[in-house]
Amino acid sequence: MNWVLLCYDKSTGGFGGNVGHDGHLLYTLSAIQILAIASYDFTTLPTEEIIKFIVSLQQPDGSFAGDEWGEIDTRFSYCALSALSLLSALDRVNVPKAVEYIASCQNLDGGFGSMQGAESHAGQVFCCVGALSIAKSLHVIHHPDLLGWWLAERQCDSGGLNGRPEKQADVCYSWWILSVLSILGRVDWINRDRLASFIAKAQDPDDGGIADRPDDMPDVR
Amino acid sequence: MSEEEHEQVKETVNIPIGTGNDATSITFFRDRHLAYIAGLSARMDHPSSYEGAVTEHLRMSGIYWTITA
Repeated sequence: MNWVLLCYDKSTGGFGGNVGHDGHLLYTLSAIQILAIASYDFTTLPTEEIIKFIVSLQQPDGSFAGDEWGEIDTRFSYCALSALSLLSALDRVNVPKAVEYIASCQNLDGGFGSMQGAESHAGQVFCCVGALSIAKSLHVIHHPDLLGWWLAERQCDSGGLNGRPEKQADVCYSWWILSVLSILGRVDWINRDRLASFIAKAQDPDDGGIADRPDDMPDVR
Repeated sequence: MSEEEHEQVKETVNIPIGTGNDATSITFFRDRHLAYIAGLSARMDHPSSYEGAVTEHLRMSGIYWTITA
């Protein structure tokens, strides 16, 4: 916990990815999640400064920048809404506008991309659907069955899930895609047992850990 | 790893999958998984760790994924 607090960047109001780094939405969410899991007393945090940091990153079109340098990505919309939700401060940003921007990033294949017109990607789908769920706005998703179909299509012959069409399966998408299917109430649209077998084969029985796919080296992400 | 060593793996969890004639189970190496997670911090902080160096900028998220794993 002390290390997490050391990563707080007073000059921006957010948390950095390591000690002395500039504040960024990605690591501000991670820090708040870690502190929440550890039941840390939020009243001892500079909550107001953290909220102001997040609020300052919302753009007029509803999107969010990751930090003061302005990169726009729907991942940051998720980070902002998730972090504010944990801080019970969702009302401090323009939620309808944030929802409007995320909805504008849905593609004709049903999926969502990193910004308007960007290719559908399972990780971005998680961020967009997760953010919409936090904003209680899942109704803005066009054709949820089409989105469910696109997600189900991510299951490969190996049983594993990939992030985009024609890409290799990767265990990490088990998390992103199952989470979305769960939010959408469509977990049974993929084969649970074949996915479980794929993940089991990606384990390292000697040194522990789980790799991205069978026969690779384990990592954490 | 030999068959004998495999038997020494203490805490494994068998998860049943499939139904009927396809019923089988997969094995989750729980204790190895926990040992991997527990040893990660020391490996990443080691001065000669390449992985530790290239992921230095996202250590905060690494910790989140480690404690949730």
